Amino acid sequence: MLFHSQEFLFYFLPLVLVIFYLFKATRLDAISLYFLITASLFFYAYWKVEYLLLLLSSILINYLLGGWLCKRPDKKAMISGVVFNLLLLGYFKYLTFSVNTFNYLTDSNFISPEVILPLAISFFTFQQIAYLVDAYQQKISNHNIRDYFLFVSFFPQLIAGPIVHHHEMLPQFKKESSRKEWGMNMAVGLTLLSMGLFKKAILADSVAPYSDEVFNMAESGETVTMLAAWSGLLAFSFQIYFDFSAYSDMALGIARMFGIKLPVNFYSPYKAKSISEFWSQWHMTLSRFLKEYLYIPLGGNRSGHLRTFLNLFITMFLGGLWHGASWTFVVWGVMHGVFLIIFHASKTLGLRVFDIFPKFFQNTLRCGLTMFAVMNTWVFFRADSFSSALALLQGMYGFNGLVLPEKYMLFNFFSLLPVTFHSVPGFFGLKQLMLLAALGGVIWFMPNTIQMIGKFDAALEGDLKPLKNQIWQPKLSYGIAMGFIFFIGVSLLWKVEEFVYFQF
Amino acid sequence: MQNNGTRSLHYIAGFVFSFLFFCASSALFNYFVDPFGIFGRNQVGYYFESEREVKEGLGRRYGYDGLIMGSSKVGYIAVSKIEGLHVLNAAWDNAFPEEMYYYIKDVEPKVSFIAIGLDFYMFNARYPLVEQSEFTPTLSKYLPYVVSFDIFRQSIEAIYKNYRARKINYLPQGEKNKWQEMLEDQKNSQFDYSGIEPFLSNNRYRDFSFSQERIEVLQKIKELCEERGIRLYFWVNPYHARGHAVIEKFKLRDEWDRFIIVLTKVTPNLVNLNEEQYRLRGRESYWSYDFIHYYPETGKRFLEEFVLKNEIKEKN
Repeated sequence: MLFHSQEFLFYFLPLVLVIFYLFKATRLDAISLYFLITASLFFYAYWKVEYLLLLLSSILINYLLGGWLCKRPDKKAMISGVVFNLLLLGYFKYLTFSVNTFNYLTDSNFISPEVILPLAISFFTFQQIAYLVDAYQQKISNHNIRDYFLFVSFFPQLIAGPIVHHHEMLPQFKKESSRKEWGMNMAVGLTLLSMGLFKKAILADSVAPYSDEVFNMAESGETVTMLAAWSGLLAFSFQIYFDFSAYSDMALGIARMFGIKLPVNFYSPYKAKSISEFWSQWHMTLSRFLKEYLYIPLGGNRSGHLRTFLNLFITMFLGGLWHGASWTFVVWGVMHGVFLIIFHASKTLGLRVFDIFPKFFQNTLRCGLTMFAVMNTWVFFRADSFSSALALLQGMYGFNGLVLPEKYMLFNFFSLLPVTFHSVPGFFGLKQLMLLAALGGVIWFMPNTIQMIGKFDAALEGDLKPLKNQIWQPKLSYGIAMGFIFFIGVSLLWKVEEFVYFQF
Repeated sequence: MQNNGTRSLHYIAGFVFSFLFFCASSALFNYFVDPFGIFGRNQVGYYFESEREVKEGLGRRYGYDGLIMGSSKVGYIAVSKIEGLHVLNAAWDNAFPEEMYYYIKDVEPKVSFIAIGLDFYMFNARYPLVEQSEFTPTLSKYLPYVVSFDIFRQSIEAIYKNYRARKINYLPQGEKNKWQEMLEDQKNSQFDYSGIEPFLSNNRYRDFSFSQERIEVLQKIKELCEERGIRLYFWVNPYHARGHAVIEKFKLRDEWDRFIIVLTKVTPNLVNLNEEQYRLRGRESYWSYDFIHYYPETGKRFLEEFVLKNEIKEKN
């Protein structure tokens, strides 16, 4: 079931909320949690009932292993648990990829069985690996089956994150909320849900056709010229930004309606002034997982610069592979790894290239450079194959010439450049540029949802960079405005596309 | 001063009221304007290029003697001029057999016959099978139609266009409104081939390999119609001689012959309008810039004379 589907918004969510709060109102708090588990499992099974068994087995085996590790912190048992999870992920996500790669390298012809990737497997696997490691490190105080099932399967975060920590969730399951809190939770939750739906339906999906067009052209072998390539890539950069931001808002909002605060997962990443900052604002819970359970165990930055760089590289390589079983995702991860290494190396060497500029320009240039680097990596993230990624890069860097639409001949300025004028397939003119400019304005000049909600705490950590003035208020007028925004989102949701991150 | 608890309840009340108010307003407006004719209330005309939606609305709402389906060629056919039969033109651009199957299955048109015009490109396996979900039967449910910002926008646009007396895209029986263009086109005496050949080579016939799966879809359509007691006709759209020259150029004559042979096996009553006795050669029957689309009148003639003879006779 998708968050922006009719079934979810009009049937599943309202029904689950009503029953959940009926149990709460009658002081049946424990039953309300069991009900939430049942609803979450139904939510998962709605996609493919066969895979419910996989989810249940995974949860049960990890629960038992976790219990064992809580009592006896045995390293071998912990490693076996991690390997079990990775094997499960490996079979369902990477088997076909591995066989194809092996066939390619050895010129052999092995056939891999057809495996459908179970929804959310990358997310619930990582969450459970973290739990096992923490159990081994004796960081878990209360290991019980009900809370564990809910911790893994809680539907607002099950499909595409955030990847939550047990210590963030378990205490909240026990907390009793007052009537006053109920109102505030619903108000904040509805706001986040509406904002997310609006971002998805209006902002992300409005630019999707532009990026699809250019990437499809590259895939089908058509020549992509510079203007089309950059405008299409910018469209994709904005599409994935709003898509993921929308999903994160909706996940936070839906969880909040049940009185649960999830951790921040997305915090204006395109405002980042370095690639390192980007990763602390984009898919923040994945970055946290990779840092705590991969980068630090590899040695982190404790064993000299070269080892730090290698650790960064390995972490991002695997981070790329986590996103998808394809070498294009690996290249995407590797590019981020290399950029991170360059960033840390320049920091170590004390290179301060931008310091000659005034403060404002320094920040703008840093932000621009980070965005430029991130955009280049998106080429591999979005492209269906290496050939189409390279075809697009070829266009971006002028190997297919600089071509402008004929009507731009009117501007004398362009005649000074080595430009040819004829039609530019994949570029949709002023309409596209205006849309991109508007979305850019939203990204760089507006506060994010968490900042808007401000002191009313959209997420577990509260607001990371609070604004001076509180924007959102739980008032009638805001409710009316947000109801309208929700209507706009709902009225467009019939043709809304799937979230990009659902495929992982 | 109210506390946050009370204010948040006001917020929720405002949210719910506002959402319901806008839903109801949009629903009423879309219901009365009905730009795609789903409720049979459309008075302003069909202005939109979204053929699949318009045809779905028309098929779902009204009863006809029969309907014709196929690609844009069929979409041009002037069904409103067919005497003695009330026929819906339910064709759309770039149609594939599986989409027609979804249409018949889901829209459940109230007809006694269906005639389907087939084209060679429809059986090019390079085009993947269209999934049911991609066919977007968005209008199959009333709620997404009335509570829709898009339809709201289109309702306003339809009213505006009607007010400004703009040309409508589809006539009430679903045919493309091409009469004005046809009169203008007839002034040209020569064909202009420059646009259509690259289109065929880059799209329709590129990497052609015959799709057996789509033949199976035709079989499914046949079974569905038999089940519902609907008489079914298939015909192959006629190409001008120049169109056949392009098929030769791409060395696809063998595939074409195979296409006809396989089709004849599935539908023994197939009418191939490319056969010598049906073929039209003159400029007067086809668009000057396009030798695969015939004029609305030409299509109607083909249909009446060679495909629907029985139906017309039976009705009269």
